[in-house]
Amino acid sequence: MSESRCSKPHLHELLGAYELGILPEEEKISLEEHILRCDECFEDLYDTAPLWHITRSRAKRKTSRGRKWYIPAIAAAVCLLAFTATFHYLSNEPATKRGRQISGSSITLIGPRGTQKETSLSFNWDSSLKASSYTLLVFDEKGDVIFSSETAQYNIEIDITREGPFEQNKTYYWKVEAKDDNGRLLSASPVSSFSIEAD
Amino acid sequence: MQKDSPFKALLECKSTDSRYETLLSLLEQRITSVARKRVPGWAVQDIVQDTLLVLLRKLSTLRSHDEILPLTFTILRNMIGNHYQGEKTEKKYRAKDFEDPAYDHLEKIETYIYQSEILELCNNLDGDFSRIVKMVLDGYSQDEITKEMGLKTKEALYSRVHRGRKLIKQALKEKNL
Repeated sequence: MSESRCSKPHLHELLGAYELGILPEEEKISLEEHILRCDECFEDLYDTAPLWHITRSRAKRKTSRGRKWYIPAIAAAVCLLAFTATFHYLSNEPATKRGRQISGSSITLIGPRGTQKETSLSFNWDSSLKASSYTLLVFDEKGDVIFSSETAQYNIEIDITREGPFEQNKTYYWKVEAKDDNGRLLSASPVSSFSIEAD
Repeated sequence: MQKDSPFKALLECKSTDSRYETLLSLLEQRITSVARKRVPGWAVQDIVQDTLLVLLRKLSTLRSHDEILPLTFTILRNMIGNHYQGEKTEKKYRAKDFEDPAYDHLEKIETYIYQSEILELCNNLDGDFSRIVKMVLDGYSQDEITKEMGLKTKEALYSRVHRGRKLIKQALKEKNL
């Protein structure tokens, strides 16, 4: 039996809490049974699905102690960093062939961001990974790769009049992938965007 | 005895099981209802069937039944997007692309772009909802959020979430997301 208009407003009001993942199990199961039978609730969730994705993918795994874990976790991280730095200093060894320290973290994109006025684009990132090479990938709005290049450095310069089909007033997305000696993917950066200003 | 989530049953039941068929049929009806409002009648059945086809193929790759509904919406959104994209140019994703690892890569990029815009919307929202979302992202439990907000019952929390959600829904509509 289905309902095009929700006949259970008290359940409809729980949709937000359901999306945020803060509904107790019993209420969650009742609501899910209802969602499968109610067009209005199902469609309501469909409409806000992007918000749902965020809370599902970004919410840190809940523990009974919640945020109280932060303080010891941060303290542990600081100690670990201090230990790593001291260890590398004392052993007087280059941590990577670029002389950077290894902390096992990911790649930070520095630029370009926002609107670009120059015909020369400088892609810069930072990484604490022990990577042999970095691959820069630039995507257009459809998600197609329009430019890619590999380097062992932390930057790549592109002349947009020569490389890739870059167009004015369009937004482009870019990311960097780190690979090891065997070409295996170590990590990928998040995606950043920039646009090219018209003359 | 506490009942199981229907989505858990969908994930665990065999395709020959009668409950599986019932649940799948319910899901098909709901998907059809959403598609009917968004694409012309002649395209509805194709979109529903393609969505279910991809969903069923991906079911075995899911880690939890909690992923079924969000995945259904993602596939359905892409199928509906395909329909309109296909009218103008070449189709953005074809059904076979869902099998391709490159599809997951593209999907992740789009999801990231989506998320950045929506997080910005949440941050710009004044009041309780923005605070609640931040606490959820920081891993607070329902009890902790209720306490932190100075609320006496969880129902009061649900009600604030419901009100904020309406604002976000409106903003998403205006931004065509």
